[in-house]
Amino acid sequence: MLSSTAMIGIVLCSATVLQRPERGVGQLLGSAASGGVLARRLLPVLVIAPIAIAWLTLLGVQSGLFDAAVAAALSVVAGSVILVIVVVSSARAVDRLEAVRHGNEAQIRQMVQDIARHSEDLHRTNRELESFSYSISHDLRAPIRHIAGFAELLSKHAGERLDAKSKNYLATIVDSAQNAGLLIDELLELSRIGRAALHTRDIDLGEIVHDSWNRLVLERRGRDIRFEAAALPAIHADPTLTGVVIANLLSNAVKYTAPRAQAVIAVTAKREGDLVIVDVCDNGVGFDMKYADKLFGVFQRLHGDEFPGTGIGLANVKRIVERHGGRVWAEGTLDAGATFHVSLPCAKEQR
Amino acid sequence: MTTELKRILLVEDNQKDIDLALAALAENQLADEVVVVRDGEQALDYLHQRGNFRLRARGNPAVVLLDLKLPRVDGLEVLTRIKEDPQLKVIPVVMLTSSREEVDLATSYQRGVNAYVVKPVTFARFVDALRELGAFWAEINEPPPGSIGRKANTRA
Repeated sequence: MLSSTAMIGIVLCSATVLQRPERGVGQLLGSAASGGVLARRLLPVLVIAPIAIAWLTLLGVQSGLFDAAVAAALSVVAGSVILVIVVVSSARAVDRLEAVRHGNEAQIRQMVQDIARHSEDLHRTNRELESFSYSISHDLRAPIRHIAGFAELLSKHAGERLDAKSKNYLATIVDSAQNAGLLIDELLELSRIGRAALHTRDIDLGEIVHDSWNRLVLERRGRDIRFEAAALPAIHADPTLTGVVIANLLSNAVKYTAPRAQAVIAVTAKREGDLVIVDVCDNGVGFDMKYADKLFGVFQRLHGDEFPGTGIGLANVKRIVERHGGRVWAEGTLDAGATFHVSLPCAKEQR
Repeated sequence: MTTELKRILLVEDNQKDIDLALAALAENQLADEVVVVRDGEQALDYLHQRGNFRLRARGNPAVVLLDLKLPRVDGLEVLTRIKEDPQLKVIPVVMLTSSREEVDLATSYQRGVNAYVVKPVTFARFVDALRELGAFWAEINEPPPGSIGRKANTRA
């Protein structure tokens, strides 16, 4: 009677503890830390061992194997032996756990060190890049300016005495120096865009498209271009850099439709999830799709001298769009126009 | 060393740039209005009438055209010293430099530069730029008291 009451008490207590495994003893029992390991190993033994020992000695006494005094001695010895075994095995388990944890800690320390070193490397590379573009800006532009300047001075001073061929040579020198200067400026722009901080906010894409179009007045001079810009959604982006993207795409469209008597350039946009896909479509000379992956590389050009350019514009577009988490791609057919797509985050207000 | 006071002080270390600048100023009939010094220290000596320039005529030039990269005392340092000096800070200073770097532009304006001009690659545009600079700073702009104006231009 007494023992069954005790058993019911133990079961009830255990049930109460296990019912709320997220706190108190329940939490301790469930924990993966060394305390949890110890509790899980020791508690069952501490409960079961005395009961088992008491039950066995009781059986022994009842069957006349030994008397009560021997039973008492046996139960003390058995209890001590079981305790020793359990303590030793628990200690081993805790040691193993500690060893694993030390291993993990060492690994984490190593990873943190690696990350710190990589970040230091990145900072250094960035500083080097900055001083590199700084010295290009200062030191490489100067000799190019001198070549162009003195060639112009020469043609001014000796112009009358030079034959047509010599004048032509001088003009080529000036032209090449100007191109070199332009290349340097655009490369510096590309590296600046890669480093500049993004100042994003909700902006009206339509406004940027119309501003960019209006600024292309020189390129559009003498051309018959039908420009169509649908109602365009708001986006979340850096206004200045988005202006660079749109200006580049539109100026390309104007440039590559030059052979068309009636050029058509259309800007449309559609929402896709949290992105806005902007399409700039033209009926110009297009390109062969097998070179599509080369379009956005630095210095990659699919056309020769008939369409002047440095081959940096679309690389700039790609860099800016990717810094916004977007993507650029293009479709074209040789002699039948091209469509450039850029995806940019949609306005936060409309998410 | 010159003892003259002229309307334009050109601070430039590169001989080729000096030649180009003088040619461009000549195109604008401003070549006679220029004193050229080759580094920041000479520029400050000239402005303070000391060292090689202690005998020069009194007064300030109407404008200083200042290169950014100079030996010894660089352009930004010269700019700072001019703008910190109560007598010199009224002189308009124009940075005339190769650099398009934003950091140079920002620093120059923070230190009180009056204009910042990136030297154009082509000579024709350089002539235009110097014409505009010369026209504005040396001719249109009324210089502060104590500097040499168009009418007061007397050669020493």
